[in-house]
Amino acid sequence: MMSEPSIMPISSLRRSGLRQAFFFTMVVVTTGIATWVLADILWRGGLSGIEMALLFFFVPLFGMVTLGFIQAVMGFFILLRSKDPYSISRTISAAMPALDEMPATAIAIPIYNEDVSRVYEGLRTIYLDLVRSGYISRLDIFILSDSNDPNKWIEEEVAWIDLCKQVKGFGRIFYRKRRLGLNRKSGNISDFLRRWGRKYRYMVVLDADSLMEANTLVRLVQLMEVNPQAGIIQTVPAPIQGRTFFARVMQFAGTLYGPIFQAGLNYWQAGCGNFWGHNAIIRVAPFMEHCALPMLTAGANTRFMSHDYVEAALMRRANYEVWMDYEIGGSYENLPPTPLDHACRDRRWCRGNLQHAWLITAKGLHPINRLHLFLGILSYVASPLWLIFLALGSVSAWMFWAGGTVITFDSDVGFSSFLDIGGGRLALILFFVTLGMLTLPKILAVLLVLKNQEQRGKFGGSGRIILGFLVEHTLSALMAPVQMLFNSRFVVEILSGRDVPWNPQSRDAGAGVDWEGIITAHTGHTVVGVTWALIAFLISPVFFWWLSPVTFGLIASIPISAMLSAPRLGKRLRQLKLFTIPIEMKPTAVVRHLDKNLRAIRHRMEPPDWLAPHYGIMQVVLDPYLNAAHSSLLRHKPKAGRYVRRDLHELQVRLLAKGPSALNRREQMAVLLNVQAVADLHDHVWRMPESSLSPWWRLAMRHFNTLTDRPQTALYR
Amino acid sequence: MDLSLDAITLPAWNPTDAIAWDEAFGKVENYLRACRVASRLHRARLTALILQRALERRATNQDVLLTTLAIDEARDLIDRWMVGLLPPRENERPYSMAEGFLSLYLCDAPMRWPNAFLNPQQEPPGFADTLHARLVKTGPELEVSSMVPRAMDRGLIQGWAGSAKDTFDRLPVLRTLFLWTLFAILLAALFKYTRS
Repeated sequence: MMSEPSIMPISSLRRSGLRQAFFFTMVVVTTGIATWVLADILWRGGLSGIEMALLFFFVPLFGMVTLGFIQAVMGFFILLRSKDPYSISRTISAAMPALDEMPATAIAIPIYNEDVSRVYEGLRTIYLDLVRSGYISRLDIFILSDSNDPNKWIEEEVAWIDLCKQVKGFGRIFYRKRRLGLNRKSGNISDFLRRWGRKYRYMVVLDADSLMEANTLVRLVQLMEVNPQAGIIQTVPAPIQGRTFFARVMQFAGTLYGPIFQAGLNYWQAGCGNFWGHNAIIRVAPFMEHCALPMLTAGANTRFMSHDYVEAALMRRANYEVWMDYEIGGSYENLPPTPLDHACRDRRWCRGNLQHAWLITAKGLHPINRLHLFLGILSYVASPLWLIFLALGSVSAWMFWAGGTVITFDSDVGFSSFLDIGGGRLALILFFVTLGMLTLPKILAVLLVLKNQEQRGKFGGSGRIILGFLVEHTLSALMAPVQMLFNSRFVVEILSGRDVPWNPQSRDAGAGVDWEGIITAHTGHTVVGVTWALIAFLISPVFFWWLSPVTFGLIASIPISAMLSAPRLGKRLRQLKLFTIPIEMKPTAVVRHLDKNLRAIRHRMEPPDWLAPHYGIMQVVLDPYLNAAHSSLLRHKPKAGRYVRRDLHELQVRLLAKGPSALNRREQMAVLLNVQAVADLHDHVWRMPESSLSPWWRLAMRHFNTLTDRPQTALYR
Repeated sequence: MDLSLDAITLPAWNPTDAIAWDEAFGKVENYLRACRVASRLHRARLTALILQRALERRATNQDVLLTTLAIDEARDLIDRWMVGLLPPRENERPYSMAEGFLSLYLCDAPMRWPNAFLNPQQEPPGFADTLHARLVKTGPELEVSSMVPRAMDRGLIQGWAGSAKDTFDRLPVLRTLFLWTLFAILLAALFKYTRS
């Protein structure tokens, strides 16, 4: 039972300055000592060019390691005390608010060509939980679609109507489709706010794969009410529903190691936290006033791709706090199912983060927000830096082998001579200290769980926790070089001006392994790994073994990636209770409900392959009910001009005479966005003799009436 | 509207018209299935009725295809049935067929009353009232406001990096030359380093 508020964030903000000073002093001191030791190792009668370069790249790379390490250690000590005194959750009591104390709140779910079943089943679960809690009358839910895939769009509409019918959600769950997806997700949210933002005091933003319990939603509103200085409160979504080996390992790592890193992060960032774009509550009025996304550069025509960090910085600039509440619970999301999906997401994030460079020196930003932006950039730039660092190391070794004297640890000079251990041993010590700093946070997290019997059981027991940790650590070490090459390529491509498409994120694995995709993506890595290993072996067998953790991961990238992408292996691991997380051992009601519904949906009959790519168009054109429903959701514009009508007519004729594949996606969307064209198509397809229709339509008519006894949707009762 | 099926006279069998009649029959039946007329018997009777009406119209519409005439008749029948079913509106604008289908869809009529479609003689209790109560609303009342970005001084970055980026964006040749120059400097540095 939580007592009255023990701290107020505003006072903790004052103390946060001290915490930040302490934290960053630790980071600077540790990095400084390590850099000094490396300089001592390298400085044998002066520094060569390569040695200076090695030292230069070592500082940011080791700094990143140190920051993570200190953060985890701080988090570990905070969690040892069981309750975090710096958590914003402590500002509210355990009692739920009365219904009339709940201000109007919107739940906004921006979607873009997502898995409709997952979106709507998640939404159904949230809605029914809100109904059960009794707070539904205070919340409105908005599905904000930017989908430009006709199939997805129609499926979304049908699913929305069906869901509303099933849960009696008309007037409470709304669906909006933008005609033009300007400025992507942030543009979608801004557009929603311009139309309806004034009706709501708060807005909870959810992602397509988000899930949130009603209690969490209410608690977030309560936290905002109690903390009027809070502009955004970000929850930490727990990963769920990992089916592949990769997703299971990721969710195991996130759940096991996450808390100490989150507690450590909260320790130093306090009210200068970050926004991750979803599973967060936002105070609408200041957000509208201060957080409209600026152009990328003055005079440019594009906006920031990763809007969330920028919005958090703008909110903080307007003197509102941004908090991360990692203790609130009841907030969930899915993870990318395979390493390739993870890399695709990284590619998008990489571009977004690099764009933040334009804001680093912007006036008025809080230093911690600048640091967030900088760390976001560094998290991707670190990969090419590491690659250069390793390449320089290889060049040094080669020069040494070729008869040069670039690196020699033998001479008895510097700090190592005082310790009487020699430069070589000091280098080994530095290497193992670095390894220790990478490993120790995970060990601390494991210890924290092992010391708690209840927690231990939720992870499947001590043996499984330790085995899981060992396997995860090995896999992450093997995948790190692959990630390094991926990110280095992304950084180079983005800096050279190549466009990054806005592809929807894959949130669930298919039935099997995508061998073609894996081989295509990792062949280059394998070639690099084999070449590098050969060169290393030619230089020296010792150097070969030193470099083997990097080269082995690259050489084996194809089988490792295939193994990690396999849903069957993931299922087997789940049966063995390996990489088990508490939410699997004891799922909450909402997770159970979602799981059950998604399992049922997976067994539904899918349309045949030839029909599936244009199933939505077929439904709208052939089905009188869906044709009417789709028309009712379109904007009824004044009659189109002569040229527009002519073009639309030409598209309709082509669609019926040659089939949907005769139109590209933009043309299909153009037809489906016009009320008159949609009505005309339905009219024509039935009135025309079969000989005038394309074979596709003739076949579609037969299938439609044999397979469909009611509108096919993603949802089933 | 008289939807009596008792006095249906099917068109006389004429081998020369057989293909056209078969196609019209199939199209009308398919359309009724798309309208979720579940009962085969009801569907067959309706199809026969519609074809008979198409036959009657054909006398004055020789140049119109039989399939087209039949579907027009089917839609006309549905339209008149829906107008009688939906309540009159204040502005007296008649309901469109699309609105009728939407109402039926929103109250799940095909599932709840599978035999009610085009069957005014056996209208289930509560059917019409349920249809009246249905409407679709995609959002609450608008409360339009603005959300515009505030002016922002980007500091140093905007100054030199911004202008360099703008120049490079404007002159891609210059950007390429700049990259080549960087590459040449790198080669020169390596050359010098390996000989020092």
